[in-house]
Amino acid sequence: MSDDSRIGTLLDSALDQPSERRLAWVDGLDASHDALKPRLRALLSRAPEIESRDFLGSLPAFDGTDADDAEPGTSAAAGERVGPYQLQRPLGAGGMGTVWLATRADGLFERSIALKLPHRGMFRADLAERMARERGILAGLDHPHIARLYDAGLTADGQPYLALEYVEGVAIDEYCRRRNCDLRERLRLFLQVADAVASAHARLVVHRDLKPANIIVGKDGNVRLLDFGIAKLLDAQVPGEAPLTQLSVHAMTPDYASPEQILGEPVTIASDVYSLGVVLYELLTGERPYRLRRGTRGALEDAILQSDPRRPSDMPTPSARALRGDLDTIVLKALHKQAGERYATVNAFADDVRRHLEGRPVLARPDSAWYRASRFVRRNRLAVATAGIVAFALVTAAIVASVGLVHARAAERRALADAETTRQVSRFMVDLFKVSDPGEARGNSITAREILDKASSRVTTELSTAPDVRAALLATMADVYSKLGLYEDALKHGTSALDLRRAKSPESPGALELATSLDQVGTTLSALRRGKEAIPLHEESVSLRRSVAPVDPVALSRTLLNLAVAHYVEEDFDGTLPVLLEARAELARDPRPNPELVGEITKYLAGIRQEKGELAQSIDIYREALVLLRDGFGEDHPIVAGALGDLAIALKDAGRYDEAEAAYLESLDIQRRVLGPRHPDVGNALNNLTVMYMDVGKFDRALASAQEGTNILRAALGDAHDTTNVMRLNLARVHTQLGHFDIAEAEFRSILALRREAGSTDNISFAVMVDALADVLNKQGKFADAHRFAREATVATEKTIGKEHWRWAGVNRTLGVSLTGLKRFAEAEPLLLGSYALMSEKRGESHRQTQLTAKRIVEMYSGWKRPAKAKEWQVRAGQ
Amino acid sequence: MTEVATDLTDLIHRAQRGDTDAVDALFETVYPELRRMARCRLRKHQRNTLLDTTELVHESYLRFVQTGRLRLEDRTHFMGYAGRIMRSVIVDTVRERLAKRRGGDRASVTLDSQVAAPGADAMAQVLEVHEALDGLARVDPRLVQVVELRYFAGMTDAQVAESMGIAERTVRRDWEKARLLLAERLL
Repeated sequence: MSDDSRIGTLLDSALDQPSERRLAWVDGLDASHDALKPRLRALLSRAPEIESRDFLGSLPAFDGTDADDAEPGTSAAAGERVGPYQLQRPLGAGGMGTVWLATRADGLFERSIALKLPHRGMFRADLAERMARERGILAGLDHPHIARLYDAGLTADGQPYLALEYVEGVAIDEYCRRRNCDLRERLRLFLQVADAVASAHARLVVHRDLKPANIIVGKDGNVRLLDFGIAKLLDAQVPGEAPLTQLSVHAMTPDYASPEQILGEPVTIASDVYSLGVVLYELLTGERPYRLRRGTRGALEDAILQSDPRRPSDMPTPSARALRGDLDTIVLKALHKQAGERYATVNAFADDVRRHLEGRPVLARPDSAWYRASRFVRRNRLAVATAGIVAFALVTAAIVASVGLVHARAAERRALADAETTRQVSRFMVDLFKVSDPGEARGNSITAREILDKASSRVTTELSTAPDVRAALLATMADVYSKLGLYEDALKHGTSALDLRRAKSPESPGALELATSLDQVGTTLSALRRGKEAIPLHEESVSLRRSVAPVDPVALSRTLLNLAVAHYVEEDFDGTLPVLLEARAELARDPRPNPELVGEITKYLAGIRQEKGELAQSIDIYREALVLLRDGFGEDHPIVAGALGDLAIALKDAGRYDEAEAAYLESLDIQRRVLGPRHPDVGNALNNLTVMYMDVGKFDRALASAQEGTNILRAALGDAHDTTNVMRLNLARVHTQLGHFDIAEAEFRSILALRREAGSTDNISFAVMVDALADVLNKQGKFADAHRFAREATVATEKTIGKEHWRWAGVNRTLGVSLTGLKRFAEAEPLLLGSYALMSEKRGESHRQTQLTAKRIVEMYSGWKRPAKAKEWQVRAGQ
Repeated sequence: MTEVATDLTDLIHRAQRGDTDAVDALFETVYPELRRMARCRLRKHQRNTLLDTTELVHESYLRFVQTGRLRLEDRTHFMGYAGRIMRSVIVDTVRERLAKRRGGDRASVTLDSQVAAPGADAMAQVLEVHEALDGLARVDPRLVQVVELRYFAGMTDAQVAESMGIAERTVRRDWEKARLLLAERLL
């Protein structure tokens, strides 16, 4: 007999005994049963428990909902009654159940409600009690941005229902997309969401399932949060049993779930902070921080638990620039993996967003005068980025540098009266933020210009008694205007500062302040290509600086460099050279090495050679400048990248394409790393690279870099900016080369229209554009049109760069080609021959452009029926 | 499968004579019917359903009788086998549901079924009981049949006694023994 059989028999006998005597009976069994006694005792000891808990008394309940058993929406029908409600029409179906538009069947209330019918399989037996308990709490959530819970309960047949305020509207993300909401509007909506969540948190209700689908923007443009606390209500947790959070998170989309929710840890208000962070991220960038294209749910969860989210400003969004800084910091703080590192409350989160909007320093950052000053700019950046006009990183740099300058002057040279002046400057900067308080400027899209303009009027009215402060602020604003490319305004403010300083007694220490103002106005004039007017100002500054003992050789050298640049923009290269050399000599008197300034001076020396067409020497000098600049600024610096770009142009012009490409790519690499991939300088570099690829006939590469560059520049600088125009021009030229003539022509005409509208026709880039349009018209056989534009191009070129530049050769070629097309060969011949001569002189006979000119000459002679001459030129055309 | 009006009475009689093919045939006839009824019941209610297996078995019995495949007087014998078949139906249903919850047989698991937390442990217990019954058979095969009728087919002691043709008191004793032995494994 096996042990099992003997146990069965012995159990029978034991159970015959009264229950209190069974263990004694086992003890009394003879020694042959000793081995079975422990098991028998254990078995019998469970008898009371088995009775009391009715062990195996019935089969467990089944959750009837199943993929193929319960289609959402099929469990109920219009007209059906659910509890006291009558269903009207289905509003939607989701993970948790179906939602119906319904009314009270008993006519107690007229209004329609949203009746949520969760799937029945989701609950434990105590649902009714819990619903009754929670209903009271949730119904108490009375907030304008929270959809009300009117009622919750179970029908007689066990169907749970939730009667909610019916909100007509669309999900917040969809709303923003449809209305193309600007950043400010998105943040305003977000603040409503945050306020609602904070109000619920104050009543100890955690949402637990915040996502755009639960955030509706109603017809009134205001936010309503749905399903507050419902996730908890439906999360059937029974005291003493394992929490089901882990299971319920799987019901949620993990996209908005916090790491602790993924891990099944207790859910607190920190989880709502996190989910709000994801919502804000998505509102700002259009994407979620961890969206995986083809990822599995597990991969997404891993990412949420382990990866660092991409910074919002790194996302390819038009407002990326406006996100850099505060909004990056705010969002990433909310998305911190450790709940303790996030904002402690939703209020704190919302307050930081509010601070950002109002231009006050956010708490997620250390507070400092510099930081507050940079906020001034950042806010401009936000406003202007919305309008899509200007590159704002420049502005940040400008204002920080300007304020820094104020500090430096105060501390080191005591040019300003005392620290009080500095304090006033800082305070003014902070006060400026209020100019664009959302409350003051509701509905308006404020531009940086408006802010500066308001600031400008305040400087004159409020600070009239403190001319030192006023001058410092005017100078600062002049810098900002200048960096925004608003040179006329920069000039106006700079001149005002200059006048104030001139009005003071001319002796030192005011002399140095005056010199600084002179330099500022002068550099602005140079930027406006008004070098002639800048020259006397810089000359005055030079003599002022020389008059103050001891002479500061670095400042003097900088002023001399400014003076040289003024000559340079006038293309007075012979005038430029001695001043540059003088600047270098002055700098040599300073015992400290100044590789930055020497490097910049050297760069201009190289530029002069380049402009004169002495490309080989120019290249060597650029390389020398680069050594200095790298020494002075370090390897990764925008100035180094810029010089590399200039070197690349010289290399390209010299036909050393491989070296040029290497220099371009190195320059781009630095810029992408240092400035970010969407910085306008990157776009600018891509433009230059495009030009080179075109020169070497690599049109596919040219198209790729042109398209990338165009996208960057349009987003960063806007359509009206010169650099954008040039990039678009080159994109159009690539299209021309690839034979996409219709695209190219349309693009050229659009760019030219912009330029004419802006009145920006008196410069070489305008001439280049007109020439390019003429070229594409030639290619389409529209010679009359082409001829008209080619004429305009030659006039503009002659006016801006004269007849010695290789570009002169280019425009004459275009004109010659159009004349060839019009069969006016006698007029075409001298133009094309002259073009060839100049081109071969400036760029060499083997240059692609030179050969191309020869080819046009061949075509001209062929059309003219002069085969001998045509044949002669075929050799030069490389045919 | 085409409906073959198998005569259940014949199968039952053959099964009782020890014809294992007849037992299999009986199983194959009754199982799909009970399974279909169980599924239908669960779908219809879509909730935390207490599957009334007694009713199911009884209904299936009536259905077989109505279609002339079972004689009324064979009720007792039919019920004796029904417990075994009901066990299979329940175990298969539970397995299917747990598999779906784990994402088992279908690529896209609806979130709904993933939420269905209630009863997860209890459903798993059904499988444990099922597996433990093999051990129980080594103690006394009769205990297994009692558990099948009592637990899986949801019969009362009296119904079990009638189906098995044993005294009700014996059923109570067997049920107590079976539960003690199962508790040893499951609790």
